[in-house]
Amino acid sequence: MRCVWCGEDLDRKVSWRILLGLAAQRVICDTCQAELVPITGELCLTCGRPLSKLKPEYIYDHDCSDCMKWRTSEFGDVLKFNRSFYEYNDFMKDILALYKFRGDVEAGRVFSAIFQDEIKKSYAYVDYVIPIPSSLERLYERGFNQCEVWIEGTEFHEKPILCRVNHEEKQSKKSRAKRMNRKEDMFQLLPNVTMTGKACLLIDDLYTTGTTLHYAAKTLKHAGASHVCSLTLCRG
Amino acid sequence: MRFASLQLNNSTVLIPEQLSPTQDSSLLHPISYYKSFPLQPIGKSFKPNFQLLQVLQGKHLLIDEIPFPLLDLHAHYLNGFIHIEAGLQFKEGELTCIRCGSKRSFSSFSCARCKTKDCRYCRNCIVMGKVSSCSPLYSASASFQPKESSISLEWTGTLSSGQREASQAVTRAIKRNEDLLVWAVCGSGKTEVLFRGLEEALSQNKTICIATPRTDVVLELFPRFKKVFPSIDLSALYGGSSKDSSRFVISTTHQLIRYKEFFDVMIIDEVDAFPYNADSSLQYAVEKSRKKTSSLIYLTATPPKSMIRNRQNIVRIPARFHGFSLPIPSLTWIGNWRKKIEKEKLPSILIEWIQQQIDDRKPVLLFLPSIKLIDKITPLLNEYIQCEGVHSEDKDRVNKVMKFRNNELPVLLSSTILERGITIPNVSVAVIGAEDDVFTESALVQIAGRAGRSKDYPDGSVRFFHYGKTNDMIAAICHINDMNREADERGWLK
Repeated sequence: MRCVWCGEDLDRKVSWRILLGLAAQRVICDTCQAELVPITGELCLTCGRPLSKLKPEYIYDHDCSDCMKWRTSEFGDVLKFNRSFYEYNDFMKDILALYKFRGDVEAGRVFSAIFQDEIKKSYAYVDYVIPIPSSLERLYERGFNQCEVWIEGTEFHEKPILCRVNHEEKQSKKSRAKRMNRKEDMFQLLPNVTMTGKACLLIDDLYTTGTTLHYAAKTLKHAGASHVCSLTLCRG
Repeated sequence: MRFASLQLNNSTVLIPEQLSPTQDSSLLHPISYYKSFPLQPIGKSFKPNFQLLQVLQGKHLLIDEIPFPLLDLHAHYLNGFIHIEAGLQFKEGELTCIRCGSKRSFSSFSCARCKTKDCRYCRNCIVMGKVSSCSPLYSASASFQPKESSISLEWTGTLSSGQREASQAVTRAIKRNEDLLVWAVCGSGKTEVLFRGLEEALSQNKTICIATPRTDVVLELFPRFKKVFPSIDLSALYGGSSKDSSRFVISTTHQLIRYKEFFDVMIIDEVDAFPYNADSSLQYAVEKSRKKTSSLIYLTATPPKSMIRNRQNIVRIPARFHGFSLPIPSLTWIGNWRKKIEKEKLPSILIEWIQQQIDDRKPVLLFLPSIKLIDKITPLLNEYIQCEGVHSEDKDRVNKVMKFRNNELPVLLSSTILERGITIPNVSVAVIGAEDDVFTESALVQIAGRAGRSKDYPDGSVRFFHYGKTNDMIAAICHINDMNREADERGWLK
């Protein structure tokens, strides 16, 4: 066995735990594992960023100032909360580039286990697990949706619920100010989906400003969802 | 991509989904579903786009690498100017990446392009773009040759007797499309040996590739060839360089996977260097990129035994360009040096030797078996003398080597990364732990070859510090002695 990311030989330590199915066979080496920085310590209770990285003036009680801004915007609290696994460091950038831009699905699939375990452990109550959809052009270009890969083959993987809204034609007819303000929706619900009273978990690779996730949450809430939260690989 | 197969004028043609009259999913298949990829007959009235053909000539490209619309590509295919084939095919019963030759390292994914749940793809060459079950590879089948401007070799240097002999052998091999191994000792000037033969090849409008496993070497060779062939459109290909369509390229062996049956002359510099020696897909790439009838020339100071065996055509340059003999390494036993280093101490014989070189005003290049040891020894040695360590993962490597070259740094510690191609006048060279497995005969010969390269200081000092003699150490010394003897017998030594 070789490390899926760097190709180094993995030591063939087959423990009883692996044989009994209690632990998974490792797919990445210790050196690569050590480059991943899990998010720990005190978090912003809304967006899940580590508060230790923020100056005190940007912290309000248990929330960060960015989340306060979302709260007072027209989005309000459509997105109940977000949690992320890892910090978005240079190593993670390289891995995501290999996965998303080079298209090495095997490199990204390494994260499937952590997503699936966490969904089972902490999100058993949700009705829908929804990977953020790609636009059709992007989907064809890459050949896959990087968030969908993480839940493929599980019971959470259902028929598509959301899709991107194609603004191409409309955009050109709008004034610059209107386009900048971007009041339109980024996503829409697919036909024949019942959303009333449903709890949803959105899956994305990266939470940076939170714009994408807030737009998706807004669409779901307007369609009647009772609760929307999100889980991302990284917090940028 | 999915393709439909249609009968058109008694031949089978593949039509991409986007251009297909039928959108019936049962008739659309990923390209690897098809087993044969016949070339279409030439459409006599078709006017091909020469820019498109130039991009694709002798290449093996993915659709995303071609800056022309699919409609244009398809028209050229229908008229027999472009060949398409599946990127992954079964060869001798095994799934094979046709671009890089790998038969292992496949993975699969649920593919939005071909709508299959288990579209396979090659992980071996993925950094050069993704070859999957539904990826067609495009190449121009018709060859056309643009007129080159006048060829002139602008070089006024003279060749040594050994170089002259090798130069004639190279020219002959190029003329006759034969294979040749140029076995030239370190410092014999093997690059100059190529000039006359390449001038000949260019005058016959032949396509040329000088390939090497290492980007550093590409960057070093490029300006030297640009200088002697100023009127030729020459390009350097390496990871991150732009793509191009020159007829004379200096390339890393990796980049050759984008070529197919293009080169008339293939020259492989440092053929025994990592990773070419260890990676069969690079050897596949070299074979695929050259024409069936072409000349293949290997250059190295240390050919592997397998290469010498079964080879008719070998020319040796046993003497250095300056005509002085190669320095012979001397062996010094330093006991269990690893244990000493664990205790944060350095063998005193080693310190004394280094001190002696410094007193003689010689820069000292030390080779170590591993990166860990470099990191361990550098601070220990720094207590005696200013030194720095470099290795393959060192981002500051170029800078440190530069400081060493400029005499701003008296001692440089290195992994085998610097075993080839570095020239420092008057340098003294030592290996610490020469008994380690990484120091093969060829590595030791290359390391010894760093010393005495300049004509002003032809007798450099080479020392192998060891904890037990190995066969490789003895073989390296014999190798160097043999070369000196041969040079002497031929009257090529001063």
